[in-house]
Amino acid sequence: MNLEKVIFAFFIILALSLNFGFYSGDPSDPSQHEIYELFAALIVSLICTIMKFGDRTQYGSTVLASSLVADLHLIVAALYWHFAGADGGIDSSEMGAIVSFSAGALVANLVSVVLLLIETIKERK
Amino acid sequence: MSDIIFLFLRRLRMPLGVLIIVYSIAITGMTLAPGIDADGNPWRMSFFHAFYFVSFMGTTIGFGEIPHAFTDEQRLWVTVCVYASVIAWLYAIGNVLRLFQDASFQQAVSARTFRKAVRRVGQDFYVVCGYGDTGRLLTRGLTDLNILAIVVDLKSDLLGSIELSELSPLPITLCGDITDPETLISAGVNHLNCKGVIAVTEDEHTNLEIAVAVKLINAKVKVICRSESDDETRNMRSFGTDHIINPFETFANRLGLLTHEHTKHRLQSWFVNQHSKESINLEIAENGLPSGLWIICGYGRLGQSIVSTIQDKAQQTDDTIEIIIIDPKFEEGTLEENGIAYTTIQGRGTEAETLRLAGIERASIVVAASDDDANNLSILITARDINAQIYSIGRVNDESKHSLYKRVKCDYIMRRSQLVSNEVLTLVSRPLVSRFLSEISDLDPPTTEILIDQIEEISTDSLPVTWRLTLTEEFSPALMRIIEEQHTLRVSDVVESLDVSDQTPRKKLTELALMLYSGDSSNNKGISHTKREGQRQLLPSGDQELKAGDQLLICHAKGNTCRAQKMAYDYEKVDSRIGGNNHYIPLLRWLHRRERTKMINDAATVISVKNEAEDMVENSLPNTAQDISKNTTD
Repeated sequence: MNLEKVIFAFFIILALSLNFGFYSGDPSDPSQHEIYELFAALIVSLICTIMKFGDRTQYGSTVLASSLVADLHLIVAALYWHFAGADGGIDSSEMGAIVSFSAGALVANLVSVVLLLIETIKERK
Repeated sequence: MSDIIFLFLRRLRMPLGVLIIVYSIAITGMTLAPGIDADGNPWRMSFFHAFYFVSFMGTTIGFGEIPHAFTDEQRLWVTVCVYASVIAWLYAIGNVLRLFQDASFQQAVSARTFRKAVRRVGQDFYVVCGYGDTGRLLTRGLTDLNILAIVVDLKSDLLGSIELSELSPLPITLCGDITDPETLISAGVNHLNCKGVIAVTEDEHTNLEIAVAVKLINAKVKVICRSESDDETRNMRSFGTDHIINPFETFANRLGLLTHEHTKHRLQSWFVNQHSKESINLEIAENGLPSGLWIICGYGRLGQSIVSTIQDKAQQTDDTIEIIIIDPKFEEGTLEENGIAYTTIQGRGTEAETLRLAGIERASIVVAASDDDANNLSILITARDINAQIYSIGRVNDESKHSLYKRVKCDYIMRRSQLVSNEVLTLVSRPLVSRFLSEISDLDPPTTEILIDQIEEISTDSLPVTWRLTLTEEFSPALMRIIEEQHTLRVSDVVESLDVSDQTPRKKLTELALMLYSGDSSNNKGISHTKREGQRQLLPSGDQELKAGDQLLICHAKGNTCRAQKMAYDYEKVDSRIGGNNHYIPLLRWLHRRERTKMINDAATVISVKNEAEDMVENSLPNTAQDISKNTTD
């Protein structure tokens, strides 16, 4: 067991689960999606990106790329939330857009986790 | 580029992580802290505003642009955030600064700049490995010749002085291990414009390693190496190192020439030492060294080379030369080498007694050949004290001390780095001169005398300059046309030549053909000519015929342009001087030229028709297609 690897896997899986937590629920109902969860998902995703810096292998670069994709989606979602909500709250169609952005991030995070699992299984062998 | 980015990101992982965590905590706190707006209603900061606030707070910019005055709860949280974020930023900035000072980072940056600079080079260049005394002289010499030098050395402080020097084109430098093949490749060994690699590092074995590596990476690149021992020299030669320069042997050879054929030494010194002058007593340079007793102090690599060379030459020419060797490692007695016994004396030669024992009073030459400058200087002073008439020869070990040798009035000073750099520069810039010098040993003394007189007359006080005429489409199109038009081009058409048998006084020469080199010129593109592989002819006579691909070495006065150089590209000049077209009016010239071309073509057709007729007789079945093609080409 390696503490560094535990932390790495922890953050990657945390990013996915937070992302999923925000995504789940009725896409058009603003009350089912928590803004703090989106913020947490964004921060964890950014930390994941930094942790993936500097690995020059093919695996490392793919994981970094997927993480950057997730960041991009979440940042857009957060900005959208602010500017759409500036005129007195989020309505259901705006919420739908935000949730669909987070769905895009979810796919990218899923790729990260799958790659992590593949790497782990390969090391087992 | 990616190297640097990856290194940068890897090092910044921790500080960036800390920053993000601190920021996220601060932002979350700001959105949670209860506030009150201007009307007294409860109000909370949105994430966007919190991020904006934390951004200008954390970087201590502090706009103070807050929508509403803070409540005490908010102020409490901001106080905590201020300290946390300032510390996080200091940590991050400190890390970045440390990274820039990091040796491995700087190495990565300088290696990248170097690679990029080398890749962009558009002119011919040489790679100089080792920037010691020799490397410095070489770099300067190459730059003077307008050749770019790419210098690689392990020590960065030496290379720093290049940037301060006012050399142009400015050499590209890299501080690195040149024995690493990667470094060699990034130094441009595979580059199209790489003319060669010059290995002049302090260490023999490093030079050898460089030579092997270069030959394996790109066999076409010329390798010039310094080697000071026979063992390494043989090793280098075994895998095709192009030129190996052994300073001790070169110097011994020069001494040999000075004692037995001083005229040839003069020729050599004129043409080789054009970049920096040798320190030699003028009297010796003109009259050579006398025969008699040689006292050689120090029997190391130089001493051994000198003894064997002098002895060999003495046997060839029947000069009377006696050699006494002084060295601390000998016992008093004799030393047998190659069947000849030399008297040896134990000691350094720095004391008067040892020198007296060797017979310094009757000696004509003393050589201080040890590897210690203080000892050498002491030998020279003591010898001069006892015998004021003696000629002294000294070996400089540390280049910075060479002025001391001048002070003790040493007659011939051996400066290793100068010797090597002059040899290399001659090889690099005037390869034909090097060939010429290797041929002159075949000249007989009277011819050499005449040659020297002529060259002296041409050069008048300054050093003679050489120019190489290469008969190819690229370098001398005007002359090539004459050859292609089936005119015979003779040496006398382009340059004056020396007729040795002609003893009558002739008019003053301004230029002279030194050598005709015919054969494998690498620049002959599609020119059909009978290959005369690597033939050299010293002092070609005037009626010698020039063929395509030939190279002619011409000696002329400094500051003058020789006739061949003017004619190489000038069709009109060639036309009037060789073609005999002397009309002044351009129209007449043109008509004359046309007539001549027609005549030549007619003559060519006659010949080809004749050949065809012969072919028909020989081959009873003439190939019609061949005939047609022949007609069209004619």
